Amino acid sequence: MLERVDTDVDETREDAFAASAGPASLDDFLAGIGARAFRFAELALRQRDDALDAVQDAMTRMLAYRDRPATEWPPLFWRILRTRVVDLQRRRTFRLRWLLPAEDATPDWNIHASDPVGLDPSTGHDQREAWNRIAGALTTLPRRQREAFSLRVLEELDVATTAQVMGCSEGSVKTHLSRARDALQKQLEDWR
Amino acid sequence: MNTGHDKFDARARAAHAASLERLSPATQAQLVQRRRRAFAAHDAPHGRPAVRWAVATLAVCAVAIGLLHPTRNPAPSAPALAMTTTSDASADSIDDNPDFYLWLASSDAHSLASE
Repeated sequence: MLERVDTDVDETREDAFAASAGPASLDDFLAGIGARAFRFAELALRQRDDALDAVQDAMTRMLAYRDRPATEWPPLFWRILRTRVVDLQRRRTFRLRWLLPAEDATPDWNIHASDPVGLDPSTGHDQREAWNRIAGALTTLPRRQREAFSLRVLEELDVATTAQVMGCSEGSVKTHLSRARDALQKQLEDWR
Repeated sequence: MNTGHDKFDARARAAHAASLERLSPATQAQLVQRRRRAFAAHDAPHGRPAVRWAVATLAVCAVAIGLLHPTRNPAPSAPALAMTTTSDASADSIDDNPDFYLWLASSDAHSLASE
């Protein structure tokens, strides 16, 4: 019950975050970016709990920068989260395979959510199928290409910020993004 | 601009936006909980130095009190020293008593030793 109230508050914060120029506090910022951060980590790690761990770690580390101007928070947060995800991926390579939790084949999805009023009931199913397809295609890409596409296209960061987050040059971002688009469009030809 | 890319990007963004709206309640609740834990974890280290300072201050006070009152209790070796001194004194008194040596030479001492 309490959790339901909390998630409602978070949804309100997300709406306010999207509508306003920026978050009022770091708590608001983290509440607003939580779902996006989870999807980013989930695409890379393909495991719900690991993705949640990465988001929590990134939020904890982000609190060290609470005194920075709010305009600096998004690139800082994405950089921290990306680093945490890469750390978790590298750590996985040193863990025995049989100790790893099973990777979730399908992304997290609320199958019981009611469709918005006026929306065709099949739309929810189509949306899920669409996300499963793009998420599945993204997981087949090399890490840098997936990061470039996620940050530039899905998160709509500009080239300079994406380069800052990925720790590479703007030219490298463009190259990775171009290759990612080519690979994705080959897999999802009907989306072109 | 490349309209093929724009169309593809728009579809990807739409799918992504829908996925954000359709996070499961369990995951949404986890995100809220973990954000709280992140704040708690960040705030917790600030309390540790205070505890360390309190323990260090108490230790310094205890040492200071011990140094300021060194003779409050008698030294444990004092009784032993006193006993040693007493036994030395009695030994000295025997050494200095010629009657003791006379008694040693007497038949009483021989008979006592043979018993």
